[in-house]
Amino acid sequence: MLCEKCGKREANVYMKNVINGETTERHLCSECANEEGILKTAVNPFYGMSSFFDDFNQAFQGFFPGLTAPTAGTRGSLAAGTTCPVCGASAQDIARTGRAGCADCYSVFDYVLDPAIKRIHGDVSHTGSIPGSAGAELSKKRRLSELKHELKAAIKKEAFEDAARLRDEIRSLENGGASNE
Amino acid sequence: MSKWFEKKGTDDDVVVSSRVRLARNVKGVPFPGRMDEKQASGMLDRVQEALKASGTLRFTRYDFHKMDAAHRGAMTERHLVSRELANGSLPRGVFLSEDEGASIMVNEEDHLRIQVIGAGMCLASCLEDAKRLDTLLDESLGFAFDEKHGYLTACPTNLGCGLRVSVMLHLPAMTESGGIREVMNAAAKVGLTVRGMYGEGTRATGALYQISNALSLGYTEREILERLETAVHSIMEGERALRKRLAKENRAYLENRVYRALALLRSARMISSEEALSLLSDVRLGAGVVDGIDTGVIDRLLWEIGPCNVSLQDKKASSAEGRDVVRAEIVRSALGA
Repeated sequence: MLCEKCGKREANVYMKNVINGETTERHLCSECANEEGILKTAVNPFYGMSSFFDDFNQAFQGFFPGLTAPTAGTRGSLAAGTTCPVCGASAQDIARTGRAGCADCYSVFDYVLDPAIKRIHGDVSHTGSIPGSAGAELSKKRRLSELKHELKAAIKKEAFEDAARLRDEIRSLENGGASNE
Repeated sequence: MSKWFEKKGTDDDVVVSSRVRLARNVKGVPFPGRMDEKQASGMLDRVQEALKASGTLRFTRYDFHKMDAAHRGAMTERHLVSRELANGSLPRGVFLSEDEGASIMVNEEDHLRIQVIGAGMCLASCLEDAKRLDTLLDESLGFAFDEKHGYLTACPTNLGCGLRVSVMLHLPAMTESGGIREVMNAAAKVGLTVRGMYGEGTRATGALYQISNALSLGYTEREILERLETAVHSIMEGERALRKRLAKENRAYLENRVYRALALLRSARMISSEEALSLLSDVRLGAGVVDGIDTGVIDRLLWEIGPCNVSLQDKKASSAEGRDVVRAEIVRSALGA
């Protein structure tokens, strides 16, 4: 049989396609088959394996229901004038580089950075580990607010001895003393 | 002492290495982007003091601003430091552990980047080691942190745990079948990034990819790690299934590809890093399905055949051609040819 495309050479590639139940057959010579890229796909042993991934994709997403990737945000509008007392960065510097100048920039320029952070990460707070150094400060902060609350209550009850003790404890804690906890 | 990549890793038919990186900054000091030279060299000294104070840890200090480009590049090729650190201008450097598994980059984008890398799938132990270093260094340096944002970093994308976990994967069957595109899309939907190690896009040279978390604010360290582990396991199963299927359906093709690549690597007298990478990948395709494939040797070569590492091996490797000769020698001797 001659190749149905060129009609010159002997057909030595037989291809049968079944698409939606409709069968088509072709008889081609290897040169014409090559031209159409048929031979290449036929000998690629990976050909047709990609259907494997239809299920894979679904299974993969099933692991993290409800979770979607946040997209990187654009930077917010900026007020002029203020510079950071620690590093000297301005709001414009932060916008231009996309970087904070130092740790204090996060509180000095919270009006610039917080909206950007929200766009990048979503409306979330840190839930991971706390460094030992900050952990001590955090517990000190908590202890201070507890003591101040107790002091108010003591004054209200006119328990002045207790109030004096509490006042001293607050003072020593504020002057750099360690928390009892 | 043997290097981290000379150890045998778990799941090493698919996973080349695991890596954990913590971004940390010292309170009250401008970030490297706004530091002057004095503050920058001061930071290097402070980190050295902090490591000394810990007593038990042995780290070697490398000052990058005093090193030549080849030595800096060699460390970049071995993934011990980032390209940003190698190309910066401030006083900067890295503290390296003896097995090169732990490194502390100083004055890259943040004051400190604590990195722990290990062979095969070992994210949990990498994280544990990195956290131990983190705690030790925090004791003497005091890291910048607030309750809402977590660890404060130069780039807002690194806020939170300041944690990036990543795994280097070898995915030849997924690359060839085109499935890598699906993997990339699926990963992006769950907040993970997949990128080619050498060359971008879906046909990375050597079929080597890195998968990592994009963000770390609002998640605990454990959550971040577990999410990546889950993803890696399902990718690993996919790659293995494809390799097994190929071995079953077309064993001759598979063996031919693996052994031909091995023969070329054992015989070549000149080889470019790109050719070496793609041949090593072909050999690695046989891992787990063809007998006698030692992924340890292949993976060690991955870290040794970059142009800078080759050029440091031999004087004649000063030109590209000379490097190809030396590289071929390194490959032949590693493969016992």
